[in-house]
Amino acid sequence: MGEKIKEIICSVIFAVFGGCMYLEASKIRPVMEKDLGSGFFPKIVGLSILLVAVIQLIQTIKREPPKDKNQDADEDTKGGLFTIAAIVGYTILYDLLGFILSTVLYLFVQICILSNRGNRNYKLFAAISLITPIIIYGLFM
Amino acid sequence: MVLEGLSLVLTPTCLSLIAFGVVIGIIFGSIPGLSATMAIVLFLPLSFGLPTVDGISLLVGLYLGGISGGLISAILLKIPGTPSSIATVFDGGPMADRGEAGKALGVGILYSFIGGMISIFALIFLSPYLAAVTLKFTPVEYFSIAVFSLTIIASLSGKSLMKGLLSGLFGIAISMVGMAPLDGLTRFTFGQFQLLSGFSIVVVLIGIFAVTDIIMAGFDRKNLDKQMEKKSYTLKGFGITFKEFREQIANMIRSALVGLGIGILPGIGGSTASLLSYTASKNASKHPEKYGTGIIDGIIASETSNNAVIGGSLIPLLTMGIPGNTATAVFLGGLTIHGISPGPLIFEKSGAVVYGIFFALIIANFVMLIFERAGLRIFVKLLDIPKHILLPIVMVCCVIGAFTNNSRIFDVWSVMGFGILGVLFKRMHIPSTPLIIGFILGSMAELNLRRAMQASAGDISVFFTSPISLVFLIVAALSLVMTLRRSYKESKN
Repeated sequence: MGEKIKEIICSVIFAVFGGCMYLEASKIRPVMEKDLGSGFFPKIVGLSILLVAVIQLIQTIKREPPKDKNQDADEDTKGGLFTIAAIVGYTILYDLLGFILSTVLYLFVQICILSNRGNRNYKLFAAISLITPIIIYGLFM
Repeated sequence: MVLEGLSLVLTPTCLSLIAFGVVIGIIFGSIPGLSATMAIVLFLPLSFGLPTVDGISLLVGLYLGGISGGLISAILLKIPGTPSSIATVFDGGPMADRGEAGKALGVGILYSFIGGMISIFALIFLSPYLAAVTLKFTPVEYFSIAVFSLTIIASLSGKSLMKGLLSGLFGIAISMVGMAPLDGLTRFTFGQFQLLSGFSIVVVLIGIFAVTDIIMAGFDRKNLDKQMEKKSYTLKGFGITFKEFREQIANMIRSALVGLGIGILPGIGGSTASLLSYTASKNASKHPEKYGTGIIDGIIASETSNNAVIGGSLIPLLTMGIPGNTATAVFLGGLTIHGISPGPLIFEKSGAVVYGIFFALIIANFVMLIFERAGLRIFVKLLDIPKHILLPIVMVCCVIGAFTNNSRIFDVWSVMGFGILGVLFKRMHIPSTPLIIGFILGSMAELNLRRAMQASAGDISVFFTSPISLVFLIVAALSLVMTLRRSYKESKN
């Protein structure tokens, strides 16, 4: 996706967010006398987001698209997505298995994800994954 | 009374407890998500069984260590250990990247000590006068302080001012989730009871700073090893020359005064002090464009002020019984349990104990200086741990920090959500620091705006008729104009 398209989508998302916030805040009525009400500040913030996002959108459309630097080419999408999956899995398991077991599993998986062939040492990873949660548990739990 | 207080503290037990408290406090402060307040809460029951001064000294050590420890992770991991160290990341992080982690830490430790000492002496000698001055601060002045602090968003927006503003406004928007101030109406909760109390600053900080970094490391795992090239450093003393020290005197005094003032004002806290003094320092500097690129000025401003908050926050606590932040609120509990009633008569009723607390603070500050300086080599060694091992361990600490915040799994999910949001921001080249600033200051601005308008029956002129408020608003306007001018010039060049 081109940089310009990305920026346009981003501005539109912010503009929609600001607009929705303004509408939602408009429904809040003041309940106390002489008070601005709980809807006043969110309305100002929502409107400001909308305004700034529209300015940003106009600026982006007017601007010449930047020369494609192709920064994403070197990126390891798999590594990033696996990391997100590992963190999501950890959060789910934390609730189900408790701290120690879920942390042992998470640490091992996450270290494996972030390591590469050159520095992969499963025995060391397993030892760190086992010892760390026990030390942390002993210290803080 | 003074000597009696000193004799109560100068016992092996009390000195050991202070040292123990400082060390544990530093550990809590340096781990993202764990805070000085948490450390005090955890050790509060232990202090009950101890003699009064021993128990209070332990809490003093924990409080001081907890605030000071935040700079370690702020500089080495670019994750503020406590919200008070947020502005330390701006320059400490880039310095560590350049291989100057030792110097950044040394300077941070030294100025934490100086900030602490200035505020402790202010506490000892000026507390009644300072407490009287701050009683003049009304919501009008609080709102103006928040507006002034918010102007830093403009200068921390990086290449795009518009994106920085969007990020800051988004942070303010997030701060409004949950129950509204004053009337308690629920806003933007979408029927979720978990959102009633809104998002905690710890959760937002951990998510945006730590989890984002870990996910980004996943996207960049091919280069993780390249980043791990050992950066050698040499450090003499605290890494600051006498010439540099002399040049920083004005910055140091200004930051200490900001920290002291913010500490005295109830309900603001170290994070605002750190941001406010960073903004003030940048505005007063001859080279504001260098801020954020890794200069000691930024670290000095942040660390001096957040440690000056310690003595400052104890002033209203001891002289009026008003706790300025959560840590001092717990501290107040500790004092009350030991039979000490803070208030105007505290010096008459419990003089020896109060002087004991003062001496404990001074000793704790020295212990902090010695321990952190001695451990500097070990802290810097953290950077030598391979990132594929260090980052997952940091993530585990973050999860613990998020969970212990309210003992609910929802906060862990929120941390993850903010982490992903941070990744999206990075993808869109939106700076995430303004989001944090907006989040911290948004609720303060709203609360005090509403209070001020209520008290003045909707008369907006109150913000301009109060001299203190007017000064803050003028400085905020000047700061904004200067930043916009600089930004315009840069874009033209």
